[in-house]
Amino acid sequence: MSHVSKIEVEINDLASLKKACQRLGLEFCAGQTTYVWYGRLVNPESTPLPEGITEKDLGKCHHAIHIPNASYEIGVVQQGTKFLLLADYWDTRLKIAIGDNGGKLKQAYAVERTILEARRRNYRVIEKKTDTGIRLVLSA
Amino acid sequence: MAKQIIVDIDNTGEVRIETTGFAGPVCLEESQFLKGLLGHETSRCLTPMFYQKNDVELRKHINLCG
Repeated sequence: MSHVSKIEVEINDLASLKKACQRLGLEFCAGQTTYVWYGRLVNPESTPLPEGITEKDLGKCHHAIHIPNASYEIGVVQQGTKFLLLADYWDTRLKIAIGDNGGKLKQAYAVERTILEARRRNYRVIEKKTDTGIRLVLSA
Repeated sequence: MAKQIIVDIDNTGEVRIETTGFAGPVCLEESQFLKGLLGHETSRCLTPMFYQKNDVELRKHINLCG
């Protein structure tokens, strides 16, 4: 082992986000400018909004993700080169589909982004399931 | 030892990158593309192999006499 790093995932590539949606059986709706949510903030004091987002921004997006059988959708909001995911977790089916705080969607995104770039750089990639997630082994 | 980059992505979306088989700081260069690609690095832990030069075995000496 040479070194170990921990990375906080940021979404900055739409192609990989689309592939992540396919992986999870979700529908990426390019150019959809609104997404379905409850419609008003409940307990705004205890629910901090992401940086750069105000209450009036909720429900608006640059793209959206539709989840089969769920009532609410996910808004994909572009902030510079990054994309924020806005979701109302009150919808249980939405929460199950993408995990707590969107963890499963972030996982799928990181897997697809890594595979795409690793193959472009001629690495061989092996994907395995582990007890806690997914392992990708890149060999030169 | 085979040179590999191992990427563990857990169900909460947390990513852990481990390099194996690289001697010296080249492991940082080899894996840097992934870090920039996926987000930002929140912590890094260097291992003894990091300080090893190519083809030179690193030996740790422990003083047993206090």
